[in-house]
Amino acid sequence: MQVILGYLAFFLIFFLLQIFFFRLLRININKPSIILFFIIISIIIGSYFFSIELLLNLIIINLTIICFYTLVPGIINHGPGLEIIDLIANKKINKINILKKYFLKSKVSKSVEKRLQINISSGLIKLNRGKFVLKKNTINMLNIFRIIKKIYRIKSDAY
Amino acid sequence: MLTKLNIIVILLPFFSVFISSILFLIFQIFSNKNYLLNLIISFLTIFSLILVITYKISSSISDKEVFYLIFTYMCTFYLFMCLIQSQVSSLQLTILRMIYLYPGISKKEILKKYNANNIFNERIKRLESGGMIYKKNSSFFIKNNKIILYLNFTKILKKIFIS
Repeated sequence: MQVILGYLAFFLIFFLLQIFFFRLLRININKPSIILFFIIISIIIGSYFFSIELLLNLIIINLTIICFYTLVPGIINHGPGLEIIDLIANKKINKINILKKYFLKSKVSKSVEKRLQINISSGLIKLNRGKFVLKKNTINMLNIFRIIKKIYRIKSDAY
Repeated sequence: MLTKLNIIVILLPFFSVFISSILFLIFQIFSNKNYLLNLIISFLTIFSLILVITYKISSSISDKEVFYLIFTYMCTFYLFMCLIQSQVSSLQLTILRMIYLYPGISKKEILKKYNANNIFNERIKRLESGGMIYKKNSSFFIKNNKIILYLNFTKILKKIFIS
């Protein structure tokens, strides 16, 4: 019980820290560079104080940070699927035509533009005279994803 | 000094996720069920196996190690699930794939090929095939109430983060 409480305290502190940085200072600490920094620090600490308990703690802490990294963008950028569920369940809009009208009026309808902006700001694509071009690292990443998609026989919604 | 048991405890969750991913692959090949259901089944199968192993060796490991085994498996599987889910529905990835297919594409052309209209139709199709909503006389209704719980959970988190 004490172990669980200890980790719960860590999650709470980490969560509050995220909120503090995001709400008050408008800084998103969920960045690959920050995660990499944590991992490097953990490797140094882990190899210096070589103990099983510390090693387990470091793995748990790093995994939590990585999970937060994948969870937070989903919370901040409400997805289109959830928007449709929200319209049906909470706003009681059921008719397909009205549902589509409300969906197209909502913020989510601008999600393609928003994701394009995120792709540019995160350095995945570059804008060259109004034309979008992928960076070399992005092409490598997409090739890895294509292999994963092929292996697991996953069908994507589009493209 | 790390003992053999320590090494097993450290590596077991990661190895278990690897086994789950193979199980998921087998389900994907031989089962006609939805990928999400295959993911959940493969997670639960190996998770119950981990619980059995943890119970069997609980006398030789500490509480911290028990917590580590369960928590690390859950976190690593969550990351695997995100990887699979992103291949299906990530808008960001879809846009990248589009630029990969049509290098030098403009914003106008992207929006012509992939816009809110397409997204709406795709999502409705996927929500329907995933058993989240159902259609009755040109109207949609919620079929699986668990999705409302998830929606409200994300709404609360969003309020805490942004509002």
